[in-house]
Amino acid sequence: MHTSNALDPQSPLARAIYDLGIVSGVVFALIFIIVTGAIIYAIFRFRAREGEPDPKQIAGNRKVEIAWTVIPFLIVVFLLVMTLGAMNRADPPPAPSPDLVVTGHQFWWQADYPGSGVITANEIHIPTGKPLSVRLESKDVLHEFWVPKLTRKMTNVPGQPNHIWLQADKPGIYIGQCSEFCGTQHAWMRIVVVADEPSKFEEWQRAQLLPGQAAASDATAKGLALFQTSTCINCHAIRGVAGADLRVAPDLTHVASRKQLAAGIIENTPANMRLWLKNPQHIKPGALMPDFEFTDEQLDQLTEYLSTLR
Amino acid sequence: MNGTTTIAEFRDAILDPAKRAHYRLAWISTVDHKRIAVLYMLTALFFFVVGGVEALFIRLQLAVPNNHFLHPDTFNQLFTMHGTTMIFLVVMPVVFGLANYVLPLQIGARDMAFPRLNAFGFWCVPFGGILLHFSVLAGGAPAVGWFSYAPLSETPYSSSPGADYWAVALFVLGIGSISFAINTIATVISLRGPGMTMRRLPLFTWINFVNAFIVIFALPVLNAGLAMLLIDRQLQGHFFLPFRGGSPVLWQHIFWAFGHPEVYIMALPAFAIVSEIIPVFSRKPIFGYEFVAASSVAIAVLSLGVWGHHMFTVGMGRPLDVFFAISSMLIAIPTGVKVLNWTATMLGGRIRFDVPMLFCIAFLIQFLVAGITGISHAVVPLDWQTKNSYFLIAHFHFVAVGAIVFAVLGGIQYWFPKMSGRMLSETLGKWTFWLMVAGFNMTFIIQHFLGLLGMPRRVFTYPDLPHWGWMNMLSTTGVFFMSAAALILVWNLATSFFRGKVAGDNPWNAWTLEWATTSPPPHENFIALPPIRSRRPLWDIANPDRPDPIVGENSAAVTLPDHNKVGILTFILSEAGFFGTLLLAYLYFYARPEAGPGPKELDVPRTLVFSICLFASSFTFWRSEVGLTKQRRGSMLGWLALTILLGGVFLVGQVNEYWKLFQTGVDLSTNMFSTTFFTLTGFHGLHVLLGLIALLIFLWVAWEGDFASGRGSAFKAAGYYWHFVDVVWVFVLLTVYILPLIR
Repeated sequence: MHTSNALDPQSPLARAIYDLGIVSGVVFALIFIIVTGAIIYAIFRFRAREGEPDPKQIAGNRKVEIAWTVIPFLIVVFLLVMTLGAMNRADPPPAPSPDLVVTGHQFWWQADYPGSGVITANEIHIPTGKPLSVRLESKDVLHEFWVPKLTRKMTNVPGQPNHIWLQADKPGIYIGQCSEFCGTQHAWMRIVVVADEPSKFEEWQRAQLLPGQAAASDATAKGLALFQTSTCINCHAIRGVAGADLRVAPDLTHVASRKQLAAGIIENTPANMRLWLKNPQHIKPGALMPDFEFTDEQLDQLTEYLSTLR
Repeated sequence: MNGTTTIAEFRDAILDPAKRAHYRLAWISTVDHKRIAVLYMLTALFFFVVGGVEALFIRLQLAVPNNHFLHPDTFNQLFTMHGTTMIFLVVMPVVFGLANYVLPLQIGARDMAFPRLNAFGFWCVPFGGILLHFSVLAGGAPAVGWFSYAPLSETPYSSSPGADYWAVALFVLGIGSISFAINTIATVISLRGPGMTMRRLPLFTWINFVNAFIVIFALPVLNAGLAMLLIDRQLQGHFFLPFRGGSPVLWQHIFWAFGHPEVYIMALPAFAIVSEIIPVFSRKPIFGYEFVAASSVAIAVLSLGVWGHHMFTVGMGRPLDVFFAISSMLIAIPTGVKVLNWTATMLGGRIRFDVPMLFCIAFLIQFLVAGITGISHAVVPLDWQTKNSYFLIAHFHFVAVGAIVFAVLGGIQYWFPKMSGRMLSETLGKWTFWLMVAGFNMTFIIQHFLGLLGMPRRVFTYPDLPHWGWMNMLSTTGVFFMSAAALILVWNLATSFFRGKVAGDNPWNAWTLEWATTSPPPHENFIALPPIRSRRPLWDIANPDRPDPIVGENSAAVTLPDHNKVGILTFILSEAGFFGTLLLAYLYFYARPEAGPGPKELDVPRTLVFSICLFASSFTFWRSEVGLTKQRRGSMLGWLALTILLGGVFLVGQVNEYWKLFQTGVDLSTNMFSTTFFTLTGFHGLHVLLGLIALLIFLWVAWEGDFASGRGSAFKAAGYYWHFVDVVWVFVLLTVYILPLIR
């Protein structure tokens, strides 16, 4: 099972944060043990007994006070030095141009690869071993990109592009999600990062650049026609389909190649695709895709078309 | 009000039907600080139940993965209302209530400095609470989170009026909080009893006094932000709308410039309670009074400069990130000093484990955890992982519940005998305590780990990832323990009020002045004050063989400053914060010029003429004041009338300026310049108008013949306000009209 465990870093960026966490964790644990120890000692050693007079009235001790003002100060200086180092390791300055642009929408992600021209949604593919310079944008409200195993989190601010680095040591699937509340379906704005060996990544990139091509059949042709004549085409892009170039909603050119639908709420199977098309507001209430009330036959055709767009 | 009654008399009275109606009205119209304090706390208790039920529903929805119990919109409304309610309608009212009760008693005062203002401040709480909850009937509660981040909170993304009610309610509550803070400061400065010098203040009073200053600096910033948000939503402004040139990041700066001090506004009163209880139950004075007192000031000052640690992931840039990392780490030092001083107070004591002390010990350990995880958010890269995750939720609930609520529960157990004359049940108190300890830790410890496993906050449900299911279930289970604790607490309060053991004046054998009067205290608190020569007057009486060393000078004749003057100057301080925020917002957008109308549209020479009228009115007011002092009625009335006339001319000039701009098609919604210009000058104009109304009232009163030099203090106070409004205009004039000419 894929996880989003920040304690299992899988890139030099996330490891820089993790290592800092271990060092500070030790400092924190020591502070906790010493102070709690003193409290527990006081509880047992200085419990009042019947008939005892009030103890010696000690109102303070200047030397002790100065000592425990200075010691926390030294701890803070130590943590600050560690912090500054880790900030530079976990978040170096951006590259002149981004390798990847991730744009937040209510409630899904668009991923653009300016180098190759690939545009996809919710499932981000990266090559292993190579740090990618990522620009974060938003088309509406604030969102936040967070894949704990790979890198820091960062807010997608409309009108103010932000930057992070993204890297994975090993091939695998790393998950995360939007962590800044962005509206009704904030919970289902999940992220999948698929890291592949560079050669496999290149292969994926080449496949993504091809125009969307469904299996040839009567049903898919009717499905395509439905896509064009219903309002789908007003929001969704499919490269190779005339007029389908608006990206208000996820790009569907290779939708069937993705693992999940609707930013992580259901697995991407033809049956789920049909359910989604039938009643998106039932599956993801508040998503910006309306219910269309397709007939069963139309649903079959549209499902057939979309689930063969590999 | 004719004749005030004590709570004990009230208790007897409500059993007599004939007297009931009278007493109900008496409580509504009361200006007695003790009754107002009780009203504060009862209101907080009511909303505590409301906010608690909201929390229960939140946790029920999250108990299992992929849950469909609540609709996502309902869930989002619930967590927004839970956060807003608990902060503004529970913690703030309850800590203000405690201070309202105890603080005047501790300094030997008969009441707060401004009893009517005190009542006003309280009534803002239920009024604000009703406004907030009215949204439910008006199209849905706000669903934008308690910090209402723009642009989600803007009309295009939240079209229902929930966010409007949220903003208006917080504005009203903010005004209430500011008026309480003004009252607190004036009370401590002007109404201390004989011998109660500033250096002899009990720590509870000292820390609440310091806290009032944070309120004075922080709340006006929020109110300015709320005004801008409302202007965006209701008048088509663009402060926080990125696609019209506004800045969502500016909202974050404004909100957290209030929001982080707000954490201390809630936490310092908890420190105040603990600093009072731990010494009494350890039978020793606080260890290092000066350090605890000074560290509170350090926290108050630093708290105004740490807000950016809420914004480490918004892209402020490295220099600001580092600045706020340093300031946030520094604030750990005075906080740490406090924890060590409380611990050292226990060491060498004779500790009695009554319920108030139990809550304080749990407070100490839980606050230690909260403080440590707090430092981890100042260690910037750790914040980059844990922010907006359940780790953060766990951290601030350790602050809000583990520290603040525990301290308040200890404080209620401690002072309830003073308020009611009867003890709370120790047995039921111990049940509440242990159920709270168990439930609280069960709910929130595990959430640290959920956050590290990648669970973000504010999700209405979550996929079934490894460990997420059982961790959430455990967290939800704890809520039932806390709910049981709350029910027992309410039962304890209700039954002990009528049947509890009679307390006597000083049941805990404590040392501060509130224990030197009856329980409950009579109207105007004291029959006679004991001699005050140290920080623990009752210790000195009980231990004549070993009294505390005398603190400071023991001079008998000290004239305290006039409370009207202190009050109005504090009010002006808060207004300066409000206008300062509006001015900074203006400059923020002035620095990023855009197309469309700008300062060039303004007619500077004409505005200068009207400005001279306003400035001249400060002079004429001063002449009028001289007239009053010298008891020359004609001179006073004449100069005052001229002042009002000059102020009126200024306003006419402003209305004319607006009219001309409207004629050329420039209104508030045109662009960023017009949004900021009309907001800044409009609020100034509104203040001039209010000042004029106040001056007209004085004119009328003096005309009618109520013309005694004894009124001088109030008239002087109005004068300070009038001069302040002029000073604000100096800044507005320089910024809006003169600055563009220099460029």
